[in-house]
Amino acid sequence: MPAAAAQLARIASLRAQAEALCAALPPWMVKADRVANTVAHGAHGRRRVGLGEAFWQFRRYGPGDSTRAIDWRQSARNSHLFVRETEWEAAETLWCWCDLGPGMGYRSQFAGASKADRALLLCLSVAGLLMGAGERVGLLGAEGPPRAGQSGFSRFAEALADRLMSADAGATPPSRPLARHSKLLLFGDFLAPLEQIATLIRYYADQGVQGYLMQILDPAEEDFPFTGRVVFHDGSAADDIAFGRAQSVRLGYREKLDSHRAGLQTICQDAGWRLTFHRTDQTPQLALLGLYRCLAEDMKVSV
Amino acid sequence: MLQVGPLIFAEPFILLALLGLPAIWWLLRASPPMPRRIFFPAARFLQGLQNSEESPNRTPWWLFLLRLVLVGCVIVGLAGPSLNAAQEDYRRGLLLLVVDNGWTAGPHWEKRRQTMASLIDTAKRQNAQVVILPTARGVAAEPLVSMAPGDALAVARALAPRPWPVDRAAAAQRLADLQARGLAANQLHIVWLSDGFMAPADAAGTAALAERLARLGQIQFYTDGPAEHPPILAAPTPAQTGFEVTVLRAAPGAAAPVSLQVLGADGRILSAAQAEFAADETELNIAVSMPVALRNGADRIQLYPPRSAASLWLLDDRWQRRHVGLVSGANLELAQPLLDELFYLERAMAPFAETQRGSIAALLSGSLSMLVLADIGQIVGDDAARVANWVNKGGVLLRFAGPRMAEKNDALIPVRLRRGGRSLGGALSWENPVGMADFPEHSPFFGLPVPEEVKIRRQILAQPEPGLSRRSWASLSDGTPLVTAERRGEGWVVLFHVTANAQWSNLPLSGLYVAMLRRLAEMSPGHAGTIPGERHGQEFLPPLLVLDGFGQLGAPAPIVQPLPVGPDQAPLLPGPETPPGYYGMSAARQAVNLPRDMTDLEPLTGLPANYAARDYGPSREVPLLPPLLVLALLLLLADGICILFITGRRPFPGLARWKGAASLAAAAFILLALVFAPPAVAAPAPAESADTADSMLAAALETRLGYMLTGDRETDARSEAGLTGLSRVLAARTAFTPAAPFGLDPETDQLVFYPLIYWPMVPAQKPLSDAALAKIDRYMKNGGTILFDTRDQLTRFNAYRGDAGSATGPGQQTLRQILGVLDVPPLKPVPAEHVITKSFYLLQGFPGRYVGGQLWIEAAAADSSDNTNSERVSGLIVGSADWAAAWAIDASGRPAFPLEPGGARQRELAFRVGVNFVMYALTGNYKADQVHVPTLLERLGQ
Repeated sequence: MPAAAAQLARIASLRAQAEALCAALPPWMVKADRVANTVAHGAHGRRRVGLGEAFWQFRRYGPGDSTRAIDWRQSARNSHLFVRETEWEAAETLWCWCDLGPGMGYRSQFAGASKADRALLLCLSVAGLLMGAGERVGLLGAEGPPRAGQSGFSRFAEALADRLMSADAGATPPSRPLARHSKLLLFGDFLAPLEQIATLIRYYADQGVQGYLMQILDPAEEDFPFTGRVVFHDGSAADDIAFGRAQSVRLGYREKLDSHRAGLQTICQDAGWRLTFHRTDQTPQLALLGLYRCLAEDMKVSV
Repeated sequence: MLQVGPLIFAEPFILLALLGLPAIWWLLRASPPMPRRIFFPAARFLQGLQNSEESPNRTPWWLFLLRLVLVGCVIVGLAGPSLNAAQEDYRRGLLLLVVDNGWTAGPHWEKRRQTMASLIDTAKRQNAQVVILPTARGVAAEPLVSMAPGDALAVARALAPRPWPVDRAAAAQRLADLQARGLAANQLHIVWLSDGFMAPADAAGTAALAERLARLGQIQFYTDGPAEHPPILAAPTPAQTGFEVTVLRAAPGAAAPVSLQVLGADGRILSAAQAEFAADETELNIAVSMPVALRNGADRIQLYPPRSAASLWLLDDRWQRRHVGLVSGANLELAQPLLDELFYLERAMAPFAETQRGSIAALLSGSLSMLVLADIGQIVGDDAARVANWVNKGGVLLRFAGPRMAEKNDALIPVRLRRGGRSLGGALSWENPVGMADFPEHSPFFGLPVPEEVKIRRQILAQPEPGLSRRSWASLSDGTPLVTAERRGEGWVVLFHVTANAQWSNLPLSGLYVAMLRRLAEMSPGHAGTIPGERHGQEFLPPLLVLDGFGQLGAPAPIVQPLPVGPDQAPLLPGPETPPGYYGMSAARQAVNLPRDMTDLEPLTGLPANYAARDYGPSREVPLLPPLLVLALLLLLADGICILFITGRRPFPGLARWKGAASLAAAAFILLALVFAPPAVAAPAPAESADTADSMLAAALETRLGYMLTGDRETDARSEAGLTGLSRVLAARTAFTPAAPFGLDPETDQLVFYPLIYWPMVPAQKPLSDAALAKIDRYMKNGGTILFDTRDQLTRFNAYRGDAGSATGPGQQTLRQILGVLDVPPLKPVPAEHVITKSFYLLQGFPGRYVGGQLWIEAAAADSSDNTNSERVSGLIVGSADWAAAWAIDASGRPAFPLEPGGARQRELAFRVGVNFVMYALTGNYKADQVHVPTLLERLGQ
């Protein structure tokens, strides 16, 4: 099946690009701020006492402590008994999702890549970084639990390729119940009607999910450089829209786009989510740094 | 063929396609231009937006009209329209073209060819056959054939004017053949493309042809306009100072200028002459004068521009200078060359003859016009018979008397001589030297003025006998014959009764001697053996270069035959086998020209009554297909641009982005245009040169000091102020009153007018061009003096050459830079006793604005002790004291700059230095003479 082979090759090349991109940034660790409610244990310290392997502190033995917890070597140096406490370690879960609808395949002459390519690249890069740091990352809508590590990354890439090849690569994220306080990262152009997006975000926000939206747009979609007699269509069943002088509607289009973005921003703010923008004529590093900064504000980052 | 007014359509059926235009109308209206369809994900936002300007979805009427015109143009163009097409109707007939292609056709052949082409074109359109009958003789008279117009066009294009006359009798004969073969049975349309002339010899043939043509049908008779007679160059005759040329024309007409050129073998113009035919004159004599040295190089004479075979005259050896052989009896030439008789003869004859010395036998074996025997009493042995034979065949033997001839003589003298001769005005004689009488009328010297100062001191005397006075061509004032001559066979024997040198008379010292010898040389034949064929014992001369009908020399065609030569050869008639041109070998060639009687013309008469006269004119037929197609193409382009506008695409989307590049390209284009448009650039030049001329005049009329413009405004102002101050001091104290100083730019100004040029060194001195450097170099070498002032005394101008590393000032560096590219002689510090220290004032040093420092001059001029070299004024004086600042005065006459260290004394000394510099430049070593006075006095005292 040549189409499938082409998609596999696409993913492979994107993965290679993503790995190159990741190499430029240090793998980061996301620190959950809500310790008590975390379900799963992760691989890095939470800077408090808990279950873990790394030494945290010695404490005077007190009533109620198990005698097995006494560190005899330390106690032998002193006249008191000491209990060895370890640091509590836990892993964070991040869910990713890419819009792969027909509109995402658009690429104008001013852009270096199509929007879908850029979204996949960023998605793979973020996943690679986080998985490399021991965080657990899953693809929203795919089977299997979120995974971590190198093998997890491969699984993740396979899942993305599966999605890419499946016919119903949806334009809207599926609604799935997620664990509380997990993170959700959505890539897409988010040009759908605002109500649709608001419904989705509210659904996840009600579950206590912290979300990040990255709107990826083509420069042509922002600047509207068309002139002359043009008929526009968006690939859907909607009617074609014809203009005698396309340049004359540029201002009106820009207003509409700006108001749409403002609406998107309002929705995200209401839900406490974060919204970042990316243009496909910018370098992916820029977007990745933006994401990094954005995530870092919410999470403590250790290298 | 369809004719609509002046328009003729070759393929009128194509016009039916115009009926299809309404269909095109319908098609064009039905299909508006297609918009672009673009996939755009954000198209949702575009919904509901108001399109303020809707582009038309129907073709606008004007675009539509444009397209209809476009299609119409193509259809009408393909129908083959032409304007003013010839109206003749040759259908079902035969077009007979009688073409006069003799030598007269050369000048207007292009018109004739165009007429032929247009006639054949008409025949082609009407499917008529064509017969072409050229009237000049061809190689072989092939029978006439009727040709398809296409072939006929090729034949007509290949037809060329011939460098020989037409032969209409033969043409009439060929026409008769045509008739006999029955080809003329068709309806004949006769066109006679004539030159309008006939030669008297060909009058009968012309009449026969005209009569035969008249019997065949109506003649259209084309002639050149009345003012189109080609000038004819007749045979030139050699004259004393060049050639005398007669130019003829066939019929009297309006005044017309004639330009004549004498060309060398390499095509160089050796001489040229202009003249004008007076109105109603048919003959014009022009004397072309040229230096005698160039005359033998003359290869041909032509009317410029040469347009026919008769406008050119080819010259050969017959027009060249005489060869004169000189033989002397004495052999003074070895001991005293200036007294040698042959020396006098060679000098006298060099302007008009080729002289060569040698033995009589050797000289006569070549081609010789004149043989000069100086003081040979007796021609010895076989030579006597040889000389006598040569004289009988036309040679001119010129003998001079002398001591030997006074003793004895042979038979080859015009008169019998007395032994001894007589001497006039000697120490033992009562008689004074005698002058010459005027020349008698039968003498070839008649008319030459006889100078008073010519005196004969000694001569040999002729025996008085009957007829002596007839034989004497010149005589003394007392009647004694001085030059006698006698005809022998074809030639002459001439005797001068004096020596060829100044021993017996001072005749050889006067101009008369030269004039007499020249007259004698002109009497001699061109060449003893005139025809090269005889010289080389050759029967046939191969063709070398032949003329074509346009008067151009070219390589001969293979059919050209060798030229037969010989004493009994009849004069040659030029024809296809022997066209005019050069024959023989390039060293010895013979020219064949159109004979004079062949160029004799009279207007063509005797035409039958039924002819229609026409003029050659350019065809007025204008085919309209190309312009219509071009118009259609332009409309297509316009249509494309309109479509771009209508669909809203900018015609040139890249234009805005490339604006910078475009303006750059435009600038480059303008620059190129300027470079390649010298007239435009040169336009302001005259004013500038007039300005230069004015300044040169001003500089030349008054003596003044000059200074080099450095480009530094402050320095230039200082130089001017300084030289003004110095000029004022000079005017007040010395005899030299200079005018106001001039600033000079070595690139543009002349330097020669200035005795002294002050040149301050500035660091910003721009490098000089080669021309300017050459000018400066010439100026210094030819006596001008340049005072280089480095003005950097304060930075210790100690050594010009050595110590390059030690503190060199900026001025010194500039100086090095300038002197590095000039041819500067070695320099030396001014010695203490040098003339520059005493040329006006007695000076110990050369202070300027600064004190101290060293003054350098040319080493050659510095050696004042050496008398031989002291003549030289140094071309350059190099110093560093900034004299201009010391001399500078402001408008009110006060010093403009402070001095270092200062004081009135220093300023006075600076002025004295300046005065000395100027005096040195003007008077040179004049004062140096005084330097030696004490020595001289001392020596005298001893």
